[in-house]
Amino acid sequence: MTTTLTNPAVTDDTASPRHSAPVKKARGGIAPLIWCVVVFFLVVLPVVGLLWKSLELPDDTRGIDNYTEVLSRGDIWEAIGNSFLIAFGTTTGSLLVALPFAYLVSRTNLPGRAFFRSVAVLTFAAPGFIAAMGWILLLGPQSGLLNQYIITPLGLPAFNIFTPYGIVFCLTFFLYPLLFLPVADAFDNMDDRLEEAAQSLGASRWETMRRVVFPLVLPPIFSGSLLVFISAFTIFGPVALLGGPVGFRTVPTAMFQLMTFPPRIELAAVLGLPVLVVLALLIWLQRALYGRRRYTTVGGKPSQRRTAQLGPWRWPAFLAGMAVFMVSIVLPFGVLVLTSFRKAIGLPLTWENMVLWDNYQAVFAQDSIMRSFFNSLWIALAATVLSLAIAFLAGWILERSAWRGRGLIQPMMLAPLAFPGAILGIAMIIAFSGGPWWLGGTLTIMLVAYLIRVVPQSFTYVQSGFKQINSETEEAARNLGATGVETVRRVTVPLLRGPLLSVGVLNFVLLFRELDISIFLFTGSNEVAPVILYNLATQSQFQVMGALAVIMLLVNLGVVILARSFFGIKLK
Amino acid sequence: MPRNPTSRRLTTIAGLALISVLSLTACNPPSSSGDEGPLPDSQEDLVSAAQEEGAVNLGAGGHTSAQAQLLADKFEEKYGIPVEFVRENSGQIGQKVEAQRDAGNVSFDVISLNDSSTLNTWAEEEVLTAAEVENADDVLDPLEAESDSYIAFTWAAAGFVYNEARLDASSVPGTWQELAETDGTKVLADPGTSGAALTFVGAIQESAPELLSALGEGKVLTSESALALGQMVATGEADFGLPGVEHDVSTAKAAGEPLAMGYPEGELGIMPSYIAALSDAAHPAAARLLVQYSLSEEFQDAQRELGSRSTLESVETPEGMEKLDQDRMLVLDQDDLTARKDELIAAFEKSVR
Repeated sequence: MTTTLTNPAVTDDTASPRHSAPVKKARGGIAPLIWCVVVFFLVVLPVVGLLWKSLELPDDTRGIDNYTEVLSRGDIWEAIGNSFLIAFGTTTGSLLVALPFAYLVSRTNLPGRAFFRSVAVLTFAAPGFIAAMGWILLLGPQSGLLNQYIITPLGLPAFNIFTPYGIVFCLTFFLYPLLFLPVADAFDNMDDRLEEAAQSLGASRWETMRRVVFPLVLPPIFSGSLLVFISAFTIFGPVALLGGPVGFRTVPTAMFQLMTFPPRIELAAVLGLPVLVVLALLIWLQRALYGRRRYTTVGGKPSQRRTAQLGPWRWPAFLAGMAVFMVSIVLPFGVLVLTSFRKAIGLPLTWENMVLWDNYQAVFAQDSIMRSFFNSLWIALAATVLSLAIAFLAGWILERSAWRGRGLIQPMMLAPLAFPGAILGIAMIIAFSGGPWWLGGTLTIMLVAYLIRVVPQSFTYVQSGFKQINSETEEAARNLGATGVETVRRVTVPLLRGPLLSVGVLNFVLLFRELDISIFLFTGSNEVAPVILYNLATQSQFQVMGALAVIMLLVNLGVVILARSFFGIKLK
Repeated sequence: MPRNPTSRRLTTIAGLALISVLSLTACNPPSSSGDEGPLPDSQEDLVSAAQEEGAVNLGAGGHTSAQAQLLADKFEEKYGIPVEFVRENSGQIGQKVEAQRDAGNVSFDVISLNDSSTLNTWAEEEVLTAAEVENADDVLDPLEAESDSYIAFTWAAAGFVYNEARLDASSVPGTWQELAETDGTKVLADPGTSGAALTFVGAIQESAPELLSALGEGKVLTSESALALGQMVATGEADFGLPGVEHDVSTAKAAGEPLAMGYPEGELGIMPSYIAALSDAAHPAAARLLVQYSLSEEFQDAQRELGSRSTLESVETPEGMEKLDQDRMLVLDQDDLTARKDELIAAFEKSVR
């Protein structure tokens, strides 16, 4: 392999014009104005409301005393350190699982690859606290089923899920699809000719991977890692359940502590600051890593897809894929299925203590269940579609226009990530519950909150997609007489179909089980399915909760299958 | 250029999403509150006014779901007024009301909390209004509230919880000391995140000050919430849960879980649940009526069937619960507890971490 191999698709805008002919960008027309209005309502209003609240002092004046009070506490810094530990661990774990798995399902002849890809999103089919409960039932050190019936009988020490490693393990298999899905899409979109060219120049398979393939999927790797990192940094339920027993606190659990007895929302709001700082650092790092380079891999011309032959590694790779599927979906949901047939989780696991349909009947006996399911379906669907539209608008302005303010787009679109669900719920109440909106207690406030929740990830997927599309294809459409809107509708959207569908399905699944915000915005008449799930857990009806979680999984599975059939994606 | 089917389908979905957004939008201010002058003096007129209002919203932080449902059912049966309630823990209802106050749109007419400290603050800020409960003087002495703006409607003792399917009743410890010396994992709720746990630690520091350090010498886990505590005892991850709060155990038992309460000898920490009407209630007459009904003999007797203790001396202890004389009831001053919160958490951390 020569050292002169260059990647024709990854170019630096400052390099020779031979590699990157500057494309004349449009000023953006009315699009930036629409984006500004949307961002004002969805980001500025709630985030500024919350920051304003964080400055509120007991004597009704404003100042930074809350910041000095909270940030001078040793336990808060310990919590911040723990959040970093969990976030780094989970991101590393997710990279180790997601990258090879994405390559295998996209570029090789792995058996069942379409199945693995379709079901990955189902790890999100239940709220995080349910997944954590599942892992306690499986890997609790004293009576976890796996420990009791498999690990200990083999003479091995029981796995203790109540440790930082246990949390990282649980979160890795809960969050890895945030990385897996965009990377798999990027692999799909890559033009095989780039690899062929590299290999014809003498590069080995490993060198081609390292110097051509990997750099081309860097944007989705980074944006997916950013989502995993921030999600792990701010996730509450699993950390509270798995870290709580050994006193392991992170930023969201510290926030929770600050919000109780008496409720000091202004103190809890302060803790949004460290997450904002982390987010800003990550965005800076992203820009430093690949800010001015181009990652064009998608042109208008279809290319022949080449599938790498795994040869004798085909079935071992299949077993590895099955292991990921088992650990991320079958085990945590399997234990919920088992729970849904138990009389009570406190009774020994024997046939006498099992029931057939009683728990499922108990779910459907609740008057509110169908209403809440309908509400969840509609709100999740509407928020998903709207978030895609907003993300597309932002991505287009950022990547295709010459609007001067586009440097603001990424920070603004990612800012909601800085606030865990409960804090965002409070921000929503402060911003929209009263005048002039009067949205308190309505489904509309739930919809707006859901929208805010998924805008950051929609944006990261869509932006990565934009980076991969050659803008010259769109220019060509314009030259052939298409209007701007026609070009977007007939060229850009179809080329972005992969990321849009991936993040669309992901958003729906995430929102259908969204709990942290919903619980704050629920006021009696605007009920959604996850709130009912949570209420069952608080009433110790774990077995009925298991039945409802299984039903939610089936709904999500149905949506995944329907979406893929509806949009003509073949299950290869 | 031919129109792409994906683009057509996306347009259809976007159109449907937009229609659903428009149909969900309800940008009307809430109905006016409390501006119609003072509430009627006579009970008959109050009932009429409440019926005219037609509904009442309860933020149930001090009720269990079963208690709130029972209250809603009985109240509607008696007055024909539906009660819409949100059942969450006391802290969550407190946070929700605080955020809604900031926005100027509190959705509840009545709230119930376990936290009298927050209620005292709200009473001083005139967030609450006295509900003129006729039999307020009949409430047990240790449960009397500091302000007439709120009133205790039930209470629970804090002992410990165990799984009776795993532990024989004859080997259940009878004192805190025995419990500390008994083998087995104990799970303690964290006083930093649970009001019940804070009350428990405060009570233990008064009644059995050596207990925490004695517990710390054994195998101890902690939990951020009562939810996790109950689950850990049910699944066998822990053998004893502290505090075991009576109404949580009753709820778990009603759900079929084999959990039981242990009552060590001597004083026990008591957790009263309070109910109050809000000054800016959208349904002020119904709010007052609901608070009054919560203290009625009729409702107090009915909630006994759920395993909830009455705050009226005249109503008997629920079946299966230990009768506790007033001299065993240790009711802590919640303002004092709040002021000592950091100190108590530090004592807890030092002993059991």
